Amino acid sequence: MNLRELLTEHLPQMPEAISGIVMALLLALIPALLVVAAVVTPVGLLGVYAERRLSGKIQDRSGPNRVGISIGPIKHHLWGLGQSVADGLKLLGKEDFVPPGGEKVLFLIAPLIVFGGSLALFAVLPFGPNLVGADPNVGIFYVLSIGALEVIGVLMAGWASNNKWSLIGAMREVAQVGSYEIPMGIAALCPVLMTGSLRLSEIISRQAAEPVIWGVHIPIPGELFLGWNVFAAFPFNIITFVIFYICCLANLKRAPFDLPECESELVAGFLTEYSGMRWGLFFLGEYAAMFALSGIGATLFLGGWTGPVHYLAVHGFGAAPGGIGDIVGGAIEFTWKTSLLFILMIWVRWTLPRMRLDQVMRLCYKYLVPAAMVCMLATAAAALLG
Amino acid sequence: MGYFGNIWDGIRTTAQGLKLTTSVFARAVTKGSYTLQYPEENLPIDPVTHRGIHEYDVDRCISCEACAKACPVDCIYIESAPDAKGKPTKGKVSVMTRFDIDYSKCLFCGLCVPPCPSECIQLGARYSLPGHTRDEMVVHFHEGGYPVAEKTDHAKKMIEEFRAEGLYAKKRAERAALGIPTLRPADG
Repeated sequence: MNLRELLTEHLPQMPEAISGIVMALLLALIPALLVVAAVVTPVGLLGVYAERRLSGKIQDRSGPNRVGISIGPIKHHLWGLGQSVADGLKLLGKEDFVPPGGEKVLFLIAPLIVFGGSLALFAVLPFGPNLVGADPNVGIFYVLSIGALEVIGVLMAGWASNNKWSLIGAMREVAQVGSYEIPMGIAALCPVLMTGSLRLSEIISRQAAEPVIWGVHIPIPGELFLGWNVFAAFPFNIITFVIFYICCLANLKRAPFDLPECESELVAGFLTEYSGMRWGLFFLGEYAAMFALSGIGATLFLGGWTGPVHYLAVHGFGAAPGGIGDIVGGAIEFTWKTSLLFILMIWVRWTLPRMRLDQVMRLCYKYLVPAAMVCMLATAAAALLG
Repeated sequence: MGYFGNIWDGIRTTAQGLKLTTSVFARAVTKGSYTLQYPEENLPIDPVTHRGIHEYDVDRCISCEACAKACPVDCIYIESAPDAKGKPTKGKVSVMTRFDIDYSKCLFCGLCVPPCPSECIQLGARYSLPGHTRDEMVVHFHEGGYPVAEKTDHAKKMIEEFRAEGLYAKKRAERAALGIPTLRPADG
């Protein structure tokens, strides 16, 4: 139904049309709220907790380990798991400040756009068999384009803050993320070349099939590592995976690419003027996007929800396809791969120092783009062989 | 360094860094981290050289106010019970009604220690004095809470003198009559 049909044919039956719109909104809103409550918020809170604990251990200290529960006789420190919740509650109680001279409307909606952009990534994230919000035929294209929405939010935040640090931070973000979209897109094309489809479910099922490397059939189940796209066109897609991962780090503004919020030069970059829950939304959005892009990386290159755990669930315990065992096995499979990539992001952040902007640009245009192109050519040749 | 040398250098140094952080992480997880969980764990303190909260013997104090005069920030407040003529008692018979040190002012310089003729004030090993108000930063030493732990030869001689003259029991009784509690068994 297009707009003209809506206006010419459905306008006379407006009450029905309105009820349809209301129904559609409800059908879209309720799952979205469920995803926020059940996935995004826990992922954000646990992500912050994991980051603080791991960085603590890496720096030879403990990290948060006090805030637990104290309900009547039940008292436990819970290894500090309550710290993120306590911090979130503190942020909720803070003043929602808009700097004088700033663009008020842009300033207020910028964090919502950033958070919404990372939230939208979860719509196509395949957590397991049948455990996916939507499986559009433009899967990867959707991921790359909706992931770029974040740049707009950050630019709005930097522009609306009426602060030179914010603006410089936002400009750096635009330069950096805009550059890294190129090798990221080329790297994401390699799994697409091997599959012949942008649809994420087809990319996953191709990796579960019997592996073919440079036209050579290997007679073992594809779920046992070798079918994964990271081993396709061996060894080129290993490099592709590394390139994709580096681009994810750059797009997420994670160290060593955290120039947009570079504390030692720009106070907090585009976040300088933000406080309270709007700042918290930027943070939650960052960790949600970290998880989502780790999940996309796992789906494109590491077999998504197919793999040894899922193989064991189906062939070892005899779970029926589409049954509860199949779904749980797939979800565990997806979670361990995604968590591994997530923890690697934290590990890299607390290891490497921040790069200069010219080094970031040189890494992108001089090294990642040519390497990604070579890998794509090799993958295309491998795809021709079978 | 050429183009591929740069790439190799980047990979090598990144791996080196990741190896270093992993070794620190593994050590922190298996052997515990370097930092202490403060209220439960404490660093060992040398009681001789550490300049912490004072230790004070209320019975041996002669109310000469030498420490208060030496104090560069005037944080020691001394009062003693009046005698028959209404003047504050001085010397051996002096009964302390107030010996307060305000730790929101004290800078732990230790200048109060050397002038004391009876060697009844020292800097001790305690350093923790948490509280919510400024009043809680004032310690009432005349109530006898922080007795001197390490005693010099001179102090030991004075303790014997005081004991021979029966001053301990007398002064404690007088303080009790003034309503000042004695929180510890005094020397003798």
